[in-house]
Amino acid sequence: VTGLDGAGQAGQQPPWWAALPPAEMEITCGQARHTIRWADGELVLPAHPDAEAELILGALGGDKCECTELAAVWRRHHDDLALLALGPRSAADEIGITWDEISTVSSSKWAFGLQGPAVSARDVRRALTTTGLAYSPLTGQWAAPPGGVPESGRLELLTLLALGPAFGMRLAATVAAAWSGAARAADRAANRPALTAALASRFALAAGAWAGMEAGQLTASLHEGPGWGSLEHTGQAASGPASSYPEGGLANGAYPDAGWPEGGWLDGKFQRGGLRAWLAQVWAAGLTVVEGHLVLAVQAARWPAAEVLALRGLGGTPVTLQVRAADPAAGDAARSGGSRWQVAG
Amino acid sequence: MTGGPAAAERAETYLRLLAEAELREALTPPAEAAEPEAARHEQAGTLVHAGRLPRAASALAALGVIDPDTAAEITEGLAAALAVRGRLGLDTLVHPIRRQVNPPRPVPALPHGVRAVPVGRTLTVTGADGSQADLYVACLVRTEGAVMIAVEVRAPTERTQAQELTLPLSTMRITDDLGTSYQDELSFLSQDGRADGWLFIHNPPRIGVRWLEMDSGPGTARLRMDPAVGAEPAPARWQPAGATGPGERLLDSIAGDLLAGLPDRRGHGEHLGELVAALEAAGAVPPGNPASGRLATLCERAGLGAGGDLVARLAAGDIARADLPRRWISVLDWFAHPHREAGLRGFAPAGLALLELDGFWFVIVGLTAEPDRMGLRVLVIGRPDEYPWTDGRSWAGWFPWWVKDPGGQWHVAALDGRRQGYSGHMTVDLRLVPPLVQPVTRLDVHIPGRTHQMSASVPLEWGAPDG
Repeated sequence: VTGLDGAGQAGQQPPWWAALPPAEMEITCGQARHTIRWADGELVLPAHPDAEAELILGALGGDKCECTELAAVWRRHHDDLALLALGPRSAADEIGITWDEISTVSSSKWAFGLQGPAVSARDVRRALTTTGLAYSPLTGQWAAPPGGVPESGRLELLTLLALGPAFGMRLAATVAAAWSGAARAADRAANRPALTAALASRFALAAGAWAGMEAGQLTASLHEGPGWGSLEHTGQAASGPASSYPEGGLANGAYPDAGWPEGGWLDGKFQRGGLRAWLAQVWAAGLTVVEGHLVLAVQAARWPAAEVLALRGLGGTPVTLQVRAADPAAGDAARSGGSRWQVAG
Repeated sequence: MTGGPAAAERAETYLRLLAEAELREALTPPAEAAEPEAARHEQAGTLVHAGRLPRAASALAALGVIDPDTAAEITEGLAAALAVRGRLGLDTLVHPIRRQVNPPRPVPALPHGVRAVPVGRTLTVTGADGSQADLYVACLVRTEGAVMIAVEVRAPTERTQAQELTLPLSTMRITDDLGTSYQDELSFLSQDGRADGWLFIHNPPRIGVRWLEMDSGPGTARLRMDPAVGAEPAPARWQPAGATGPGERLLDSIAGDLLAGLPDRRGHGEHLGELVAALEAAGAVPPGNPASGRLATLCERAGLGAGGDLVARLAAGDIARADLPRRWISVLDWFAHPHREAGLRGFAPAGLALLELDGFWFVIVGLTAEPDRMGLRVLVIGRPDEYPWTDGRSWAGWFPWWVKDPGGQWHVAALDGRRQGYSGHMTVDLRLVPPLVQPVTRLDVHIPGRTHQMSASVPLEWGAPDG
């Protein structure tokens, strides 16, 4: 695809992070301020080139620093569905919790030092210990003992959300992508209600505003299969489709052009690929609606450009659009939950 | 889980989507100026503690459709999501709101060796200071671990308000025919200063004891009971519960409670339409099920002001009217005509009142008649403490009972209170509506169960002295 450096090869999905710009921020680490950076789907620590080794050394008695602890917590929750239940539903859904507040409400006071007072690595380690987590040198992971420590898990999530909307959206995308692989079909089946709610809540906000419908009129469900899924407008909830936009119809253009009837329900049926394609690629990148188009999937991307599959309006036919971030140099996307996009050319 | 994994998944999906809808609503900016923080917190607090989500979660968990921990986790998740968005205090995050929904309802193992002996006699007992009280002994219940004697303390003469009516436990003795004394094993369990309660023998007489004798010292009156000749389970008739599932039984149970509110013209049912919708959406009741129609029709007909949203669905044709069961009509008709006031007072012990259902023993201790209410006193043996009392729904599988008197009048016997006993038993009071207007010697009692309904004919012995 022109301008995308081949990110969208025929028959291949681009990486889930392809439409997301890097994000970074500073935190207090020991006596210094260090940058943590998210890029290409990973949290990286420029000031700690060998973070793994530091974490293991820390577990063996040395001081652990806030940066490496944070990276470990991020990794630990990379597929935590609770993040999708707690985290942002849209870029406008600001979660204002701060590490100072977490420290206030948590008896363990193990928040990392962002803007509040710096917390020493020793305090962090003690706090993690008091929450019941144990470090395993074999796995290099902090883990809850048998029976779990639910409160520490929630505090960890809060700590990650306190990183701000840019990191919150990216972590949500990370979780969504982690659940979309073919190898996790059994996990998805066992967690379908949570996944459905995670998808539906975000789809309802985006597509509802686009279709001029109440969010409560939109439903979403997960199905195992290839492609992003389908979108149906139904006369009433759980009834047969009045209009259907199945993926297979894309090739033959079998979409009705007549407008959809007023009222009714809009039902998104997302295939397993759709979890990644829509939540991770479309929603997290702020691509849900671009100039009146409901974006259904990203076909190719390399930020700040993307090729998307989108619907112009109710009753319209999905079209391929080239879109670009509105002002990539301004850095909005790195600070906030998502980019502002516009149709290119 | 009732209904299996598919039903559980459907119920969980429903609750999670409901939580999302509640979150959206809470985050919708108010039309007026910015709400003060306290108002936002109050609104959000209502959502997570008394809103649609906890109500639906509680009902579905009580029905066994969804695992209670999952239901609690969803409610907690909403609270956490509101807290991180400034709609609830952050302390919500460290003090989760668990136990908003009912815990599991395991099928308890039926205790063995339970016997019930109707007594229905009065013993005058004397305290160490020479004061006397009448002890009315209703019945004796023997389990493997204890002997429980249902008693009521009554003053032999009129007393002043300052005179406390107590059981002179220090002087009371119970001995058996083998000469064993149980004085040190005795305790009296009452509640809220009530004069009635249970006298416990914690180390029960061994099998083979012919009689137990109670007195309050040498030369005082004695009362002899035979723990061996206990009642066998009352002859019961069993009838399959039919195709109705737990959801429909819950709706019928609520209908019974509504009928029990007729004397006070009260109806606890402001969210019945919402409840029915939740049960339908979660798959706990099938759409168009007759129980929804029955409940809606009852709400419309009873005029209690209950279930307004359900009646609206009835009027809109969303729910079909249904014929009311004969027993419901019997109660409704009773209140449609003037009746002379019930003149019954006192306590009528029940005989042969041992009933087993779904892992519980129900012992009908007797029927109490007071000026403003009449009720059955029932001892529940099993694991009743595993069923919390929060909204009564966890007991909906076994209550209300239906009682038919010899004249053909139906009465609903709805849960009216409970008194927790020692581990493994509980005393529940069932309000009988409408009350009996004359003494009867027998009542047909119908008890709903999970898979079967049980019916038994229970004899009553009127003539006990008034309290």
